[in-house]
This record gives sequence, structure tokens and C-alpha cells, in this order.
Amino acid sequence: MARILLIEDDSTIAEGIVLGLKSHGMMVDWFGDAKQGELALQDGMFDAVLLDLTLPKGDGMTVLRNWRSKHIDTPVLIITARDAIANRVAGLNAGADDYLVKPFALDEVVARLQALMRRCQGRSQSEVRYGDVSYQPDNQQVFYQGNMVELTIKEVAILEQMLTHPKQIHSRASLEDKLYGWQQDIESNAIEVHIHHLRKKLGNDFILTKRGIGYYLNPAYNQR
Amino acid sequence: MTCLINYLPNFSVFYLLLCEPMKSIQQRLLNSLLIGLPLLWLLTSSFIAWRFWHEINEINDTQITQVARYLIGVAPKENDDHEQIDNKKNHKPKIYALKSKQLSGDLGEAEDDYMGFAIWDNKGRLLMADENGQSFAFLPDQHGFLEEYDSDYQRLNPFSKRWRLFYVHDDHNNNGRVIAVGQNLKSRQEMITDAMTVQVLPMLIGLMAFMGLVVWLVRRGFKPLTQISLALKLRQPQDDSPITADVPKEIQPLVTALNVLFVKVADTLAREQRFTADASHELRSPLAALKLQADLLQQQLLQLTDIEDDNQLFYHAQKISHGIERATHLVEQLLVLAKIEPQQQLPPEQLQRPDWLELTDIVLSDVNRLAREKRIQLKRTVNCDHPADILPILINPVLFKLLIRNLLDNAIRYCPEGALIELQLGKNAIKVMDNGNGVKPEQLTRLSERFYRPAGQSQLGSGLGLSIANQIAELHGLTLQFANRVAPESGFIVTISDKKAPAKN
Repeated sequence: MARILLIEDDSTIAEGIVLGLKSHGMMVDWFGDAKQGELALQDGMFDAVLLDLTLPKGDGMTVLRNWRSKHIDTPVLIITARDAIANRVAGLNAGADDYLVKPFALDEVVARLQALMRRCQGRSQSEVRYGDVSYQPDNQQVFYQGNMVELTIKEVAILEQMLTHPKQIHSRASLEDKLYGWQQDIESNAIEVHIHHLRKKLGNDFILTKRGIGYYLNPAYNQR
Repeated sequence: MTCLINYLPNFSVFYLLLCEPMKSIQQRLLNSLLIGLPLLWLLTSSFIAWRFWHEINEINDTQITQVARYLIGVAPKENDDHEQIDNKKNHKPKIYALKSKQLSGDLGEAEDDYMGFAIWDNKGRLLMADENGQSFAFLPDQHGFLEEYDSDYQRLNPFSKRWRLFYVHDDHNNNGRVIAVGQNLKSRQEMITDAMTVQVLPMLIGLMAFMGLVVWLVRRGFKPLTQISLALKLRQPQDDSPITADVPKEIQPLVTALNVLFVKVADTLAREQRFTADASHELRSPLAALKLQADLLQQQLLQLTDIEDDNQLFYHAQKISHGIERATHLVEQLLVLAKIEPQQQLPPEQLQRPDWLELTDIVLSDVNRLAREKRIQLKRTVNCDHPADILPILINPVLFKLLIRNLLDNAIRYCPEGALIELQLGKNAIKVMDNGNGVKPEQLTRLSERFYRPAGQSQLGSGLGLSIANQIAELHGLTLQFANRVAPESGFIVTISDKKAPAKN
């Protein structure tokens, strides 16, 4: 289980992140000021750090520099409300691995953290499992109950999108955006057709529909 | 001297310039000096010429009358003899060939053909004369100087030999001899011209030199001012460095005041930018907290309700998320506006020649999802032979993406479902065109006003999008034109084009 260090002074945000990451199977240690946070990483083992820049008892950027000068190379994702381009560049120069500007979606934080940790562990992409379905991003193969399933390219793309953001509802528009870009004109029911095929191949209730909003993976499957 | 010549044609517009309120001090100073000095010169020279004319006339006329008096006194009276001779009708006047007589000694700068005289008896018979005088006319009624202008005499004499003639009778009853003394006017004029030339020519040369000097001095005097205004023109509002130019004493207080002002302005701007950063932090943190909580709420609702039904709770959670997104959007737009508004021009180091296809690709991808939600089709056309020909200007790519994005965003928001939005890239203009319902004509001019949203909008928007687009266009020296498509087509067109060469179609 991944262990995340969160350094953030706003308790509402911090609590939200803690809860959100927990639900994605990560363990979070939260510190509210720069000093404690800095020490925490020096003492403990973490897989990744979420670092706010404006902190009491110090500045996030200084904390980051101190770590890097001590050769602590844990991946750091900066979360901040400062958005000036200069700030972005400064953050990355100080040794940050990625940068998110507030407000952000919980989903986005999770995806970025996972990407950082994967990169750090030298794996590009690992197998994703959800209930009986597993997906290997390297060769784009999908297995259902241990057997390989033949999927079209578009079906794989939809499945990949849903598996990498498992707790999100995917609207028709967002899937179209991801799959087709802006240049392709498509049939209005194209996504519906692909989902229909996916359901046929992976079980009828693997993908659920929230009417008028979009599609999501059946949460019950992941708990099996 | 060349600068002087440059100024000469300006004299025609000079009068206009003088009447106009406060153009350029330098121009006005130069104009008044360069017109005033020659005028003054003309005036003094005319006065001198007039005085000369008068003096020379006086001297010469005195001389002529003096000679006449000598002649009366000295010329032999041969009345009786002449009567006899006359009677014999072989009268022969005595002509003195004065010119052929060589005088010895220093003659000064004497000229020939200077004077002439003639003496007639009362019947008009020439008694004696010199070579010049023998061609004088006998005018029995003339006394004193002959004003040759109002007499026939002028016509009788060749043009080159104009004489000033003085007639005198040696007795008052017109019975005695008539004596005429004349002076060659040509030599008199020569005298005056010579005197004038001697007087005026050096002054004219002096004047020219002086005017050149004036131009040079004025230019030099204004150089610090010219330098300062150039420096001011290139100045960025956030620059607080003082003007250090070496300026005259009179301007120094102004420069000092300006330097103080620069610091104040830069300070205000810096504070404003700090405020922007602070405000962004303060506004974003609560929004971030809200967004996280809303996301959590949605996730948990999703876990709870695995039955496929219309869950009211989920619907409300979704509404909260949308509200947060809208507030976030507004904050972002406000911050952008706050950032670009104090700028008058873009720093040159931020400018670059864009790859329009790549840039628009990114923007179109950005707005694609929004378009997909309304089943709106995006299209891009290139209206010139080669993509490299598209609007060849230098831009700030970040801001320009925002500009096009805002226009597309706007079109997507206000078009009905299933519309077609076209981004046209052309040589002189970039256009965003849709086939929606267009905008009411009376609203067209108000579109770029801040927070302006046509009444009766169901769309969520901040009312800042087009205002920001307009600002960015201005910063690039471009204009935005809003128009409706010409019937029978309907829809809205925004044209981004160069200020200097607005696109025709």
C-alpha cells in the first residue's frame, strides 16, 4: 500500500485529500506546517509527497530545496494556489516532479501521484485489475476471469480510461473527447455502441449507467 | 545649412502651426525664429535701403544744381554774336568733347558718362553742350528737376540712358538761356546698388549662418527632452528605475517628479500584483476545499447506490460540482484580466512566431469536451496556400491561446446543440464562425464590455470572456470585430485582424 506524505495547512483541503486518497487505497500522513513536514520525510519512508507552497513556519519551496540538498529523492507533487508561470518554473527548478494548481479534482491528484510513483519505481505502467477484469497497458490485452478477451481499439481505449479513473463517472462527452479528439465527426451513439459491446464481453453489470450523466465501473466488483 | 533648407518649405505651414495650440515646442521655436529672423532682416534692410536712396539722391541732386549754378556763372554770354550767327543760319553749337580729355593725376574711382550739360538760347538753339548733353531735349517751360516719369522725355530717350535732368533759366522771364544739367541715372543706381550690396550681402550671409546656428542650438537644447520622451515611450509601467539623462535645470524638477511617480506607479502595480496573487490564493483555497469535498461526496454516493436509478442526491452533488467549476472559471478569468490589464504592450522577449496549426490544435483539443457535450462539431480551415502564410505576426502564445480559446468557448456556449463552429485561419485574419442564431445587432457593440451578458441567457458564463479576448487582441495590436453572418446564413463571426490592415471579408 502506497504511503503518501501530505503537507498542507488548510485543514478542509487536507481532510478531503486524506479521505480521497484513502478511498483509492493509499495511506496518508498529514502535517500542517513546514517544519514538521520537512522532518517527517527525513525520518520516515514515503512513496510520494503532496506539498503545499504557502505554509506556516516556512515555505514549501525551501522545504523542497532542503530535501533535495540532502539527497532525499522522493517524488514531490506540488499543490498550490499560486499559478504564475514564474512560480511553475521555480517549483520545477527546485526539484518538484509535478505541479497542480488549486482547485483540482481528487481524481487528478490520484492519477498524478500514481504516475509519479510508477515513474519512480521504473515501471512505465503496471497491470490494472478491477474485479474479474485485468488490463495490461503494455500490450493492451484484456483478461476476463483469466481468459483473454478480444476488444476493438476503441473499446480498449474506453476501458483503459475507466480503469485508470475507477471512481469517476465518465460522461459521453468526456469519452468522446478522449477517444476521438476534435477532428473526428462521429455518430451520436458511437460511445453507447462501444459500451454495449464491452458489457457483452465483460459482463452486463461491469459498467453501469447513471442516466443523464454517464458511465461508471460497478463499485461492487472491486470489492470482490 | 542643410537643416535650414529643410525648414524653408515649412514656412507655408508655419502659420498654421503657430495658431495650433501646443504642438512641439521645438517646432514652434524653430518656426518662429526661422521666420522671425528673415522678417527682421528684411525690415532693417528695407529701412537702410530707403535711407540710402534718400541720401544718395540728396547728394547727387545738390551736385547737379551746383553744376548748373557754375554753368550760369561761368558759361560765356554770346547773345549778340549768336543772334548774328543765327541770322546767317550757319549757327554751330559748341560741343565740348570732355570725355576725350585725359586728366592726369589720381582720379579716385571716377566714372565716365556721369554727367552732362547743355545750354540753349531762348529759341531753343543749342549754344553749347558736352557729348552727353547734346542729346538732351530743349524744354523751354521746364524749371527745376524733370520728373522723367511724367514727361514725354522718357520716350524720346533710349532705355539705357536715363538721365535725371535739371533745367534752369538764367533770367526769370524765359528770355535768357536755358541750361540743362543731367546726371546718368544708371550710375546713380549703380551707386545705390553698390552701397546696398556692401551693406546687405554680408548681413544676408550672416543671417543664413545665424539661422543655421539657431537650428543647431535649438536641436541641441531639446536633445535631452527628445531623449526623455523616447525613454518614456519605451518604458514599461512596472519599471521604477529613474530617468538619469543629463537635463537642463528647467526640466530637472519635472524629471525628479517623474522619477518619484515611477516609483509610486511601480509600487502600486507591484502591490496590485501581490494582491492578485494573494486574492488568487485566498479564493482558490476555499474552492479547492469545496471541490475536494464535492468529489468525495460524489464518490461515496456512487458507492452507496449501485442500483441504477435516478438518484436525487447524486444530481445535487453534481450541481454543487458545476457551481464550483463556474466559480473557479470566474476566478481564473478575473485573475487573467487583472494580469493583462496594466500592460500596455507585451515584453518583446515573450513574443514569437507561432506555428498556427499546432497552437490551434491545442486550443481545439482544450474545448473539445465542452463541444462534445453539446454535440457541436469543430472544424478548422486554412484559407491560404501555405500554413506558413497565416497571419504572420509575433504573439505571446500563452495569451493568444487564451484569446482563441475564449472565442471558441463563447461560440460553444451560445450555439444550439449540433451546431458547427469553424476556426478559419487566413493570411490577414483569424475568424471564429458559427451557424447558431447570431447576436441582436444592438448587442454587437456591447459584447466586449466587462460582465456584459445579453439578457435572458441560460448559459453559465462570467461575461468576461470576450472582454479578455479583446484585451489580448489589443495587446497584440490586433482588433476583434463582431458581426452576424449575412442572411440567408445565420450565425456569429468574430474576426481577429491587424489594426492597420483590417480584413475585408
